[in-house]
Amino acid sequence: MTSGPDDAPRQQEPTFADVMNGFSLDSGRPRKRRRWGRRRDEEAERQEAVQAPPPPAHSATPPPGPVPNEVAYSQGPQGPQGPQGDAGFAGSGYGGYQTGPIEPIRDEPLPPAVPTGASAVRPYAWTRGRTKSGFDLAIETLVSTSPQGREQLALLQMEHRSVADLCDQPRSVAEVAALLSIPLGVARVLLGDMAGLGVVTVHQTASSTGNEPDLALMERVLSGLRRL
Amino acid sequence: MDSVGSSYPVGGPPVAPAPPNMSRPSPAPRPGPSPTTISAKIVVAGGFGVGKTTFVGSVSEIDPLTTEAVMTEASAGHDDLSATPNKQTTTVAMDFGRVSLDSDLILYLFGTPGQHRFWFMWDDLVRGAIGAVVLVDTRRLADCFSAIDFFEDRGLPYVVGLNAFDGQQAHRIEDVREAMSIDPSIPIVMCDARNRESTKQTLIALVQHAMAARMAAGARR
Repeated sequence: MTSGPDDAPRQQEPTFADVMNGFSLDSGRPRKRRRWGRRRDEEAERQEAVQAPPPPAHSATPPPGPVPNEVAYSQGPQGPQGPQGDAGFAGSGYGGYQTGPIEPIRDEPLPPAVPTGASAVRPYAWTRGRTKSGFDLAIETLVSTSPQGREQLALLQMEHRSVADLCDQPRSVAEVAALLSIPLGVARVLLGDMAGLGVVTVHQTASSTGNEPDLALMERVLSGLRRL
Repeated sequence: MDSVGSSYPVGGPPVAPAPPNMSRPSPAPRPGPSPTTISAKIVVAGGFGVGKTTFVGSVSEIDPLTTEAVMTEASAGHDDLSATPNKQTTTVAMDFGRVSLDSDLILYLFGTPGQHRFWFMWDDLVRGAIGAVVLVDTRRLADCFSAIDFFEDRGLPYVVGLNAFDGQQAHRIEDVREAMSIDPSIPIVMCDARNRESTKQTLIALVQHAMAARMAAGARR
């Protein structure tokens, strides 16, 4: 998301982008500090929001007209089928496209770009249409259920609970996606949410400090391989 | 799912704790999994059917898992969409395995999606990787060129593994190097993807090469 060297000067003068970037892996900052940053930047955030509406919202609920919403909600009940597997996604996807062209005709014509939005919603029903996570999670990033998450296990929403059960020991983002049969992007958003809630802990990766793994870690990998 | 889950060992082989410079200072001792467990990744690339999944599986402590990403638009012009004109997405899968190298270090091996048109996933795969093993079937040398081009372009260290399907290599390494115009600095190793020891040696060759490349780059700076 950000390159390391840029971080220092930016922190002195936080912008909305910095607040967003602050949710990255390498930060490891306490949540308190992020909240502080956010509050301080509320003004800027609001201005930004006015100028540029958040892109993920577009794919979730296309803004104009009641029709796309209706399409999205009608897909809602099928959403929970998603975790059962790819076939579920593909199947429901076809159904969506059949209703897609029919619905808009009833009402006033929609802008041509809008109907495509619904296609992104289906596989991402678990994430309520969001495709981006606040955390920069690589596919190999390990996550594990935090003590707080274990205490609150019974209170968690269903999908978070299945992830928390799985991450009792450290699992990579890719493993969570594979073992729950959800697309990688969905796993990222879910885990990002859970990390934000403090339910899971996001671990360091080899490349947390930059884009490339450091030499000391490679040394450890090498000796680990030799011991195998 | 349960059987897969229970196949994970609780920890790696019994070894000395991590050197102090690798572990982050934790604020307080906490029960449960150590948040200092870190992960590294190696990419396994090569043409379709060259043995990537076999390679991953021979060293992985779990049966290779498959993860999916939803693909949009990239399929335009490739997939037959005439029956479903509004279909915008399809899925692409990649296999991966996991090796616990230490009590707090896990290595993931990711096989690239076989089809070359899934480049968008390669960026995700390559980011932060130690390096890549390019598996080559000497009967189909050209299959791996796109992977090699990609890693060259991204500056990702890689080694070429000549996968011996029948246990015997039909060509000498130097002949293959010449045929593929591979730089002498790039290691080419013989390997048998089905053999754990052979896979291990290939990975060791890669990590050594990646470390040498890193130190050379550091010296140049």
